[in-house]
Amino acid sequence: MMNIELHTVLTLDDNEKYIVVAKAVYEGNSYDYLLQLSADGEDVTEQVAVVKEEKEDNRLYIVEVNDKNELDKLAPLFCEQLEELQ
Amino acid sequence: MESEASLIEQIETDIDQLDLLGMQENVEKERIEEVIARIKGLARQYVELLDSIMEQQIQETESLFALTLEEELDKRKMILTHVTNKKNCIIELFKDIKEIEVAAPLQQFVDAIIIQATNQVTDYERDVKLVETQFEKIKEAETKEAELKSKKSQAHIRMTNLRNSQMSFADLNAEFMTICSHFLDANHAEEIDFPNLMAKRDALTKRRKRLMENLKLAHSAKDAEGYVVAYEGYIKTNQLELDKVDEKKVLHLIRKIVMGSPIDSYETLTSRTLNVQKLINSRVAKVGKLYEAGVVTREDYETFASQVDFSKIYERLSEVAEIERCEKQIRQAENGLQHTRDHIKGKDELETIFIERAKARGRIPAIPEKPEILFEDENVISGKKKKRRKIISVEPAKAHIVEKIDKMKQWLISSLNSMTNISKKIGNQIRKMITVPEKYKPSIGDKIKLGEKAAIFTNPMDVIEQKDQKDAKSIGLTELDLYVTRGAILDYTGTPIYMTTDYGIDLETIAKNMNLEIGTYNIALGCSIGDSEGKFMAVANDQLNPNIEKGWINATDINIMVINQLNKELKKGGMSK
Repeated sequence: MMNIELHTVLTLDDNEKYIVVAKAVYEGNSYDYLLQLSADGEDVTEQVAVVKEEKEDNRLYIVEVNDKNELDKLAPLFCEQLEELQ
Repeated sequence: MESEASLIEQIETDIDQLDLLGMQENVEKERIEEVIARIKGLARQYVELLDSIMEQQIQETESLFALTLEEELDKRKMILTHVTNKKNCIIELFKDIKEIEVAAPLQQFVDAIIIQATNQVTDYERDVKLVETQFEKIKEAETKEAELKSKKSQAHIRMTNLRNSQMSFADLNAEFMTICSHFLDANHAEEIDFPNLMAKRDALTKRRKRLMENLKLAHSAKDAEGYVVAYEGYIKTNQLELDKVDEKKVLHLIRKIVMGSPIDSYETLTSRTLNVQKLINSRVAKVGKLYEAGVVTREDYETFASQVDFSKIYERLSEVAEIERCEKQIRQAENGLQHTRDHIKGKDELETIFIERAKARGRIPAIPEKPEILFEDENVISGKKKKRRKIISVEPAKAHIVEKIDKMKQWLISSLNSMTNISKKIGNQIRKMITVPEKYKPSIGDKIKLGEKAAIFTNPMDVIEQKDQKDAKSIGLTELDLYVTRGAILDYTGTPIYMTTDYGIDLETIAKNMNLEIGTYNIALGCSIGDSEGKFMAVANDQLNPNIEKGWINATDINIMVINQLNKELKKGGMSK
């Protein structure tokens, strides 16, 4: 099964594309901070999202995280990774 | 208890027997009653069994956790199906007894059972209806919200246009007063003894009446023509005198309106304008009649009629009225939307209602176990489920995209912070004072107050070598408000703290997150290292200019208080020079 790594591009079922700009693990779950790409994948947009990775029947899914408390915990983890970017 | 199949078989057998008995002649009444009694007994058992099955099914369904309103609706529909099935089973089993002549008493008995089952169905239909109503209300709220949005958008455009061209209230008021003053001056309006004027009017009116009577008599007089001409002349003179009095009366009333208490609202201005206009209109109408009667000239009439023109004021007032109407419509729409929203029952409220209803039905409801992860209430109330998105492919990003990401780093951090509560906490609590323990851990947004003896190093290397130490007071830092804008880390081997090169961008972004207005602030950079010694860098800032003087502060001094302790995360940083 494919793995979601930093700076990989995810193509979703409706053909939307996102790049993984940061990753975090929290309470045993994997989370990604995504930035949406343009339709042709050649440019970035200003749409971001925090998602949780889910695996089922050997398939990968993502679910958007909207819970403020959860985001509060994840944000510093993502920030730390972003600040390490050279 | 016997099984369902067994009971059904027995009942069907007895019904067949009853049918046969009914077809025979001279059957003993007791025999029929015996069979009917047996069927009734079995029917009671059957209903009891169905109730038991139904209750189990309801309990199983009730114990399912509904994440969304849609799932709650499915749940209630499923329960309704269980209840309806019970009723249908009874109807199906006894459907043929109406054909049996002797089964009338049994039919009555079964009808009562069916009525009870039907009432149960109706009762549970209410539950389904309750959930469906919430969807309707949500849809209604969404429609109202869309309408409100559209109304606001249209109103905003209209109000902006109106306000751009609107005269100020003061100017409009002045315009009204100017028009009225010119009118009064042009007509030589002056202060008069109004009671005296009215007394004169009365006298003239009485005289006119006498003159009219005399004119009538004059027609039948001996030398009628002479008398008629004379009296007609007297009447015309009287009319002119009366008209002058009326003119003075109108001018007096207008003067009284215009010179009344100061106009303090659009409402008052509108009312006075209309009142003055009304008086003038009535006067113009009267002058018009006098002109028709040949008492005044056309010139007099037209001059008077054109002396006042409030059209500009009316135009402006109608714009104001329109703005107020727009605002009122928006308020009404907002109230309507809020009223609808207030009456939408959330999932928790529905759950409470269903528990109460179950108790009223004499049942102990099954309470569903909540799973570990819940959707947020707003997702539940809106009836929308969180969407799980399937990933079709994962591939490495192109180099130019990764380069862009690197340049967007600060924006990404800022976007992340705007999603969280952190930046809001900083903005909202910036003036809250708390006492901090020794092991303080300052972070972004903290306000730092320096004691006089707080040690300052102006060069990071001096921190290491512990030389050229100054105190905060001598450098003038004690009176300043210092804010932590970016955490810096001192690694545990004691190497100096560095700032990042994009310092200017950091300050701007962070200041916005902190809701700091543009102005002069002194910014401090802080760090936490897990022990009582914190290293800070205080900088003098001018309009968030990155060209700043920097100094080091050794925060081991207990004079330092860190105010607004928030966000204890360690962050990396570095000095550009």
